[in-house]
Parts: sequence; C-alpha cells; structure tokens
Amino acid sequence: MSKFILILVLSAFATYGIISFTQNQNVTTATHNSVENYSATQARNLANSAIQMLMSKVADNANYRVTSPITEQMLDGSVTYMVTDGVIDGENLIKFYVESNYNEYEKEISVYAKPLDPYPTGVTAPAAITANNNLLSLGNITIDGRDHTKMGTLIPGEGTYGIWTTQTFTNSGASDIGGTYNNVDYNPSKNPDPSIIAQNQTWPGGTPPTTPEEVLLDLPFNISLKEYAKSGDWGSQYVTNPNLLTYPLQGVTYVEPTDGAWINANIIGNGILIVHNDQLNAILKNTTGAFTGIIIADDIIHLHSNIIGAVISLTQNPSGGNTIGNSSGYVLYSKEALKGALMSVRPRNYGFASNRLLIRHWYE
Amino acid sequence: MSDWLDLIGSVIIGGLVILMITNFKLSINSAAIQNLHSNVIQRQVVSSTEVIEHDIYKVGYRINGDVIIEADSNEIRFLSDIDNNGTADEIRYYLTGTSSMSGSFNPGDRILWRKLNNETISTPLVITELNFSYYDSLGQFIDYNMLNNQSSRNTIKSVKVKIECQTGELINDKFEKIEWEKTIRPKNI
Repeated sequence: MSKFILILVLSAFATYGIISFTQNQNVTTATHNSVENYSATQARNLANSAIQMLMSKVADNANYRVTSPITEQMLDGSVTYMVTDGVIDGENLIKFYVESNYNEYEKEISVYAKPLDPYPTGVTAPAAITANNNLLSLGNITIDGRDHTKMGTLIPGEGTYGIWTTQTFTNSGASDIGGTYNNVDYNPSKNPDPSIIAQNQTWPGGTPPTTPEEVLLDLPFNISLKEYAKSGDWGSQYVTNPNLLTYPLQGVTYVEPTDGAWINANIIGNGILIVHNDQLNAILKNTTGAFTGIIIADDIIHLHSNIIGAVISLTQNPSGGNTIGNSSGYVLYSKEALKGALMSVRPRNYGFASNRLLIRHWYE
Repeated sequence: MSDWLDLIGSVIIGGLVILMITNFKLSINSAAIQNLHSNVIQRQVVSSTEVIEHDIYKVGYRINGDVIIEADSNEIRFLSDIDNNGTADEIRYYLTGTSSMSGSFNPGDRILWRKLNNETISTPLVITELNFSYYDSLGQFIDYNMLNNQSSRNTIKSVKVKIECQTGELINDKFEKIEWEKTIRPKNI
C-alpha cells in the first residue's frame, strides 16, 4: 500500500514537473516576444526622437549640418545621424538620416525637408498697374512698367507691362505709358507701344483674387494679412479710421474704412498698403504722398501720388468710373521695391526653432 | 479481511487518482493544442501585419502627383519609392476569393497578395478577412463609392487596416481566430 502511494506521489511530482517546465517555456517565449517588441518600438522611438531633435536644430539654425556620421547614446540606446544637403527632383532639400540601435534592434529613418520661405515670394500681378476692371488714364499721370530701383533709377531691360487688365484700357489726356516687352524697354509715351499694354487677360492661376492674400505668392503659414497688420510687426497697422494712421506707413498697412472709402488718402511711406473689405468695395481715392511698395485696393479712384513698386486693383466694378489717374503723379514698376514690400510680411517667431521646416519626404 | 479491505480501498483510491490525472492530462493536451494553433496564427498575423505596416507607412514616399491609384475595401494600389532607390514603385494589395484556398480545412481562408510593380512572384499571406478603410485630414470616413475618382483618393490621409486570421483546422469544433486592427497615417500624403 505504502509503495503504491509512493509511486503515485512520485508520478504526481513528475507530472507537475513536466507541466511546470512547459509553462516556463511558454512564459520565456512570451517574455522574449515582449522584449523583442519593446526593443523594436524603442528603436523606432529613438530614431523618431533624434529626427525631431535634428529638425529642431535646423529650425533654430538653418545652416546646421552634420556631414560626417555622429553616434550618441540616448535613452539606453544609441543613434547615429547625419544632416546633409540633398536634391530630389531638382528641389534643394535638407536630408536628415538617423540610424538607431536599441538592444540590437535597428531602425533607419530618412527625411527630406526644406525651410519654409519666411516671406511671400512674389505677387500674381504682372504689371505696374494690374486690374480686374476696365481702365482709363487721364491727366498727366505716368505709368511705367520698366524696372526701377526703389529710389526710382531705371534698370534697363528688366521690366514688365505698364498696364495689365482682365478687361480693357483706354489712354486719354496727357498720360504716359511705358514698359518692357521681351526685354525691350519702351519709354513712357502718350502713344504707347501696344505690346506693353496687356488687355483681356486671364489672371494667373485662372481666377482673379478677391482677397489681398490671394495676390501674394507663398504667403507664409497662410496667415491673414489683417491679423498680421493687427500684430504690429515691422510697423504694421490695421485701422478702420484712416485718420488714426501713424506716418510714415511701414510694414503692412491694412485699412478697412468704416464708411467704405478713404478719400484724400495720405499714403506716404512704404511696405504693403491694403484697402479692402469683405464686400470688395473699399475705396482708395485721391491719394497724396509718395509710397514705395505694393498697393492692393478693392476700388482705386485717381492716384495722384508718386508710387514706386506696383498697384493692384481687385474690383470688377469701380464705383467712380474707370479712371485710375486724372492728375499728376507716377507709378514706376520696381522689383526691388516689391521685394522690400514682400519682406515686410515676415511673421516673427521667437527663440528656439524660430524657422519652420516643410517635410517633403519621410522614409521609415 | 482487513487485507481485502485495504486492497479494495487502494484500488478505488488509486483508480480515482489515475482518472483525475488522465483527465488533467487530456485538458493539458487540449490547451497545448490550442496554444500551438494560437501561436501559429499569431505568427501568421504578425508576419502579415509587419509587411503591410512596412508598406503603408511609406505610401507616397518621393512621389510627386497622384499617390493612391486604387482604393477599395479589400484592395489598395499605391505608388512609393518603397526600396528608397530613387525609382517609384507600384505596390498592390488584393484579396482573392475562398476558392483559391480549396485545399484548406477552413472554408474562410483566403490569400492576400502583395504585388510589387509587375513582378510575377508575389508575397501570399493567408488570412480570412481584410478590410481597408480610408479617412481624410479631418479623420472622416471616405465612402468607397467616392473613391472611384482620383481627386477623392487624393484626400486620403490615413488608412485603417483590419485583418482576421483563423486556424486552418477545427479546435474543439471551432476555428480559433485573431483580429488585428490599426490606423496608419502615412507621413507622405
């Protein structure tokens, strides 16, 4: 009897041992799988973190590059990284490469990014005066599409149309129109060469702009120019009562007149001057003072100022007829003045990572 | 007399113990078989999902223009420089009918094919269910009917993949199954 019980007890021990061993094997396999998964995840996290840190460094200093691989210990693992210049499909980009290692698990990430342009790159208006309505010039105004410095000195062969409109243009009175076509300059004349006056055109991009933002190319972060003007950056101003403007105008000056019109408008200054409301009927009338930069207005009636840069009219239905100028003054096209004006739209970012990067390609 | 009682008692007790051990052993065997099959389909799911994740994360890498060429509930075709060699590749995932796995004991088994460019040898993955769902930048589901045109496909920003794998054989009169579901947001679209 006792022998039999002994055999049973030993058998039970043996069975328990086998079961326990098998269970331990399962637990070991499960633990191994967990560790593998954790290591793979950690390797991926390391690589992603390193990429983000490198992009922050470039955002802080656009010239930051690491042309030879550097290996650093990070979060119980290691990362090897490089930051170099690269070209993909003709586009100059910054390449970030990171290889991470955690518990013998490796992960590679390649990212191509480009620094965002800090200010708009241009305007969709191709002339000294660009309009979306019929135009008429009277008086002694001079409209010259030849290129000038921001001081008004002529730069030969670099200019554009004097007038460009989606509708028609009539030159009357003693006004002079000049411009450049195919790198040939045409002096301002009462009988201008037809090649420097573009009529019945289609607005670049197909649709005429209805907001000032649509006039500017590559507006950084798609900001609202009204909000930007309110920020006061670079001397910008936003007013609904033009009498409250501070002179000389600088940065982005955004006028949204409460009564719909800014008459006898003193525009002395520089930058970008916007006269606009949601109804697209804000009036800029009888300007005075010299202005250097870009003027964008819904409804322009009679420019009497000396303007260097470009003028853009948005409305199709001017309230006071089509006369853009009926007295003295001039509009001289100037790429330099345009660039200077566009640079006044530079949203300020402060401190670390003040530059922005646009990620173009991400491989992991 | 007492010897007989001892003997009978021992036989009864011993018999009960043996029955208990046999029953226990059968249970262990059954659990081990379940465990084994579960491991097999887990590995099946892991290998399937690793391949799918690897590819979907790279959708649109170094592609300018249209990226997702075809998008349906059980099929996706897209472009990506999948091997990072500077040349655009076309990757297609599609599911065959159950007849393609007529040799399997599980009538629901189907083959998920991964086809790279025009290669004739593709990667087959055995699964029972596959579903791709597509979402826009606001995370809203895009109806499959709308995905017939390219402009709608260009609004896809994330892809949810759902996979179900079942055992090839009946375990306790049923097919053991494992489901896997993940929403992947490719960084290049």
